[in-house]
Amino acid sequence: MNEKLPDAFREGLGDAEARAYDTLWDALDEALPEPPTARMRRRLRRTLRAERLREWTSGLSLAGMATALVVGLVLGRVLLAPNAPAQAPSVAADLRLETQLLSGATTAARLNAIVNLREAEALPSPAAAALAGLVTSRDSSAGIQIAALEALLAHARQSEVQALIVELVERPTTNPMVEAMLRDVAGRDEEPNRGTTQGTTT
Amino acid sequence: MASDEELMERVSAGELRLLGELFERHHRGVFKYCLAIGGNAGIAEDCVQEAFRRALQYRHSYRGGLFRGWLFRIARNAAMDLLPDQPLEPPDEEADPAPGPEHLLAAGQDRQRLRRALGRIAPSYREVIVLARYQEMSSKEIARVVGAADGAVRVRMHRAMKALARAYAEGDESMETGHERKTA
Repeated sequence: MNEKLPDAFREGLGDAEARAYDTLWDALDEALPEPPTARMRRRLRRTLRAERLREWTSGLSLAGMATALVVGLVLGRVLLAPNAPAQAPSVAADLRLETQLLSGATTAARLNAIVNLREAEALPSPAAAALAGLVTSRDSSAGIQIAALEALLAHARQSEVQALIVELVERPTTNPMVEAMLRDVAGRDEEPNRGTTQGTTT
Repeated sequence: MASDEELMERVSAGELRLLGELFERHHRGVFKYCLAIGGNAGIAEDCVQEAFRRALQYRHSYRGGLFRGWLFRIARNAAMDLLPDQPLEPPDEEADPAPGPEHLLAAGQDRQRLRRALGRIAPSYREVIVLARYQEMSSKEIARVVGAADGAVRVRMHRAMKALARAYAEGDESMETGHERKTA
């Protein structure tokens, strides 16, 4: 940091005056206090979360919301309800079990777990991560991918879920329905090359 | 390490989390700048948040160019909105001569007094001093931030240093400097 008044501001000053200003200039180094960085970081994180949520809310088209609703109804009522009605788990143990069931052996068990997690009051971190993994997993069926994304979107107000959805938007997917839902979420209908922008030169 | 400009372009493209990196680089400078304009740490903190929130909201309007200047212009607008009654126009030219160097020799040893002196000069004077001292901005950069001509910024800096020297020399006894004088 400059200890003397910069040359651009010295024009027209006499030697004595310039020296006096240099003294002041140097002393200014510590004249202003440092900011409360930790608190300001927390506030910025809240700002970022709010902005993401605002964008998602405004970017979600009616068609996108209708698609998500239809997908949820189809999966929840037509495919699953006759065999395993969805319930809203209220205790952590139930949610842990559901999370484990996400990697269950059968598609029906997975779908049941997904719907239960979707209906839960809050999504635990492991469940959110597992759902995000299902959305892009090549081992997942198209129905599983859509249901998993729909479950995540149902909890989009949770910050860590928001972060996961942001990551999903940046990832490539082979499922056109998932692609469309994510595009609606991101509000980026014009984007032709999603997933190809990561790793840009820094 | 990515430049500010590269990071901001990526924020504009949707990588919102990178705003955190720009915050780490610039929040201290913006805080001191807002403090210089507002003269109050609480307002300065709000001003920093508002500046970065606006940078996020209006990220698509970033068209390249020096990020720092763009950010400080946003911060300036945010400060003016937070402080609608705070004039940022320079006060009238003052006829009082600046004190001689002998009055300023102790400045380095009495930073509290200097801080108080800085707080008593006009906000528009503090503004140019802080941008030049803490951000090391050139007169041209400052001109872009404050919306004035390069020459006007140099003149303002001369007056600002003179006002600061006088406020320091007068100590805490007088409040008759800069902004107070104009608005009295």
